[in-house]
Amino acid sequence: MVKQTHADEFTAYVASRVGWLRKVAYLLCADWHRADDLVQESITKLYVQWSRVSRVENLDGYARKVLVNTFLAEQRTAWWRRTDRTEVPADGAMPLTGDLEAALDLQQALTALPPRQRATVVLRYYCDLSVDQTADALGCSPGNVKSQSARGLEALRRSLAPERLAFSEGAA
Amino acid sequence: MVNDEMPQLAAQLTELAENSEPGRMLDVERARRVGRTRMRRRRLAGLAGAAAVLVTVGLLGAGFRDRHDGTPVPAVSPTVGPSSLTMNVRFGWVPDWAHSGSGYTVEKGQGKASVQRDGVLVEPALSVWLTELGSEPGAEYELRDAPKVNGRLAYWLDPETITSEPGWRPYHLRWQVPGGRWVQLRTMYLPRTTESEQELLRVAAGVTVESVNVPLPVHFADALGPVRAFDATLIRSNSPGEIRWRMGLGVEVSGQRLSVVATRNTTPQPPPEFRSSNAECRTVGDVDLCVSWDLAMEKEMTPDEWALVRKVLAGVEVVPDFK
Repeated sequence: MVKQTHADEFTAYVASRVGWLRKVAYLLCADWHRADDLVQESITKLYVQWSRVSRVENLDGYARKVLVNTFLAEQRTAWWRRTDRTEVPADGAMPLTGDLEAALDLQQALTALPPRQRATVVLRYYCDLSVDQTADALGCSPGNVKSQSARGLEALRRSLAPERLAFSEGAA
Repeated sequence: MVNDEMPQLAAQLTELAENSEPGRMLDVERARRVGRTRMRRRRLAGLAGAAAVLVTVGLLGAGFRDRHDGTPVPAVSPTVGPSSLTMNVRFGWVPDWAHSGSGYTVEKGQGKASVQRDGVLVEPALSVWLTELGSEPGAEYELRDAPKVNGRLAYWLDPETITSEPGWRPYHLRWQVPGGRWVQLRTMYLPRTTESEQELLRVAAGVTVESVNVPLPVHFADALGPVRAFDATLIRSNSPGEIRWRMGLGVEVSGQRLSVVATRNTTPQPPPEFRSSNAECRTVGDVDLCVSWDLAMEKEMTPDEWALVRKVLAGVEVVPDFK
């Protein structure tokens, strides 16, 4: 019953991490429906590789890497560019309970970033990854992560209202 | 960690992700089901490749007859000679939009038949080729079930990372033919719709795996001595335009590799603004003929090398009224 064991492991892992993966996906794409599609595709890829990945040391890191690369690969496809979005998505009517205006501003500013810059900012400042960890997830050099971070933060600083700029002081 | 350096940004990202989340459960069972399908496809692709090798080994001496329905499968490999090439696959029915031109290419032992959508000097809209025995799709492809083609296993190959024009996405259809080999159809400039897929399946059903002799529009004078051709492209236009046909031929003469390019224009053309500095050209009727040193990088040529280029150029004979 090895197969069943693997399937159970997979189901248990996904159940425990799906909320986290959705949030990362949402920050990457700014659309909950698309975030669900991204996660669905990512967990499918994870399942295909499950017999191997379930033994890796950092399974969360692997899952995050699959998610980010699925997102970036989708950006390169014509299918997605055809439906490119530059505005806050329709489900911007979501029940924001905190600082609504600040959240919407940040969402718009994030959406305006090029995909790799957006992924770098999300991995560095939401997932709390180091430069080296981010480089590993994105499959690029640490120097590239630093430059993408700097450009991303600079763009966010330009996009956001002055009172939201506090985070950009002393940027990495 | 970095969040200690950028606490406000980290907090805002967290708020954005956590406070706006609508409830929806992911379909774990669907992930498992689709994942199992992909794994099965990959295994099948591998098994089919292995089976193809076994079938070939067993049938090489028996004339390549399919063990299931007896349909002969050509044992020919694509080849190119100085005045013709031999292909092993050809198109049958193609959509109206793919009648702009058609061509054949033999390169590094692989032959491709192609049809054009817009003119003849752009990437083919459809290309088809017979894969190598035992070949498998690269890991960069996602495999997806396709309806059978002529009753045989088929699947779509979706490149995972693609750069293309908005609205268009190249993709492939791969299906098995008697003997266990696979034929692959690649499309460009085609929107990914159910209608397009149906059209491609119809194209695939009409593809014939057989030996096809394709004459080339040039001959070489005996005075040149032995001429060995190693790759060739011939594209014919079916639409009004400046070019009727164009041929590129790689040849080896006196131990040196040269390129011969012949273009038949529908109207007289001015000399091209740019041409290789290693080329010599002449016009034969309405055919422009150029011979150049076959090097990826241009280089200073010696007088002897120039002499060979001019000798070959003088020795190329254009087939009259080649269409």
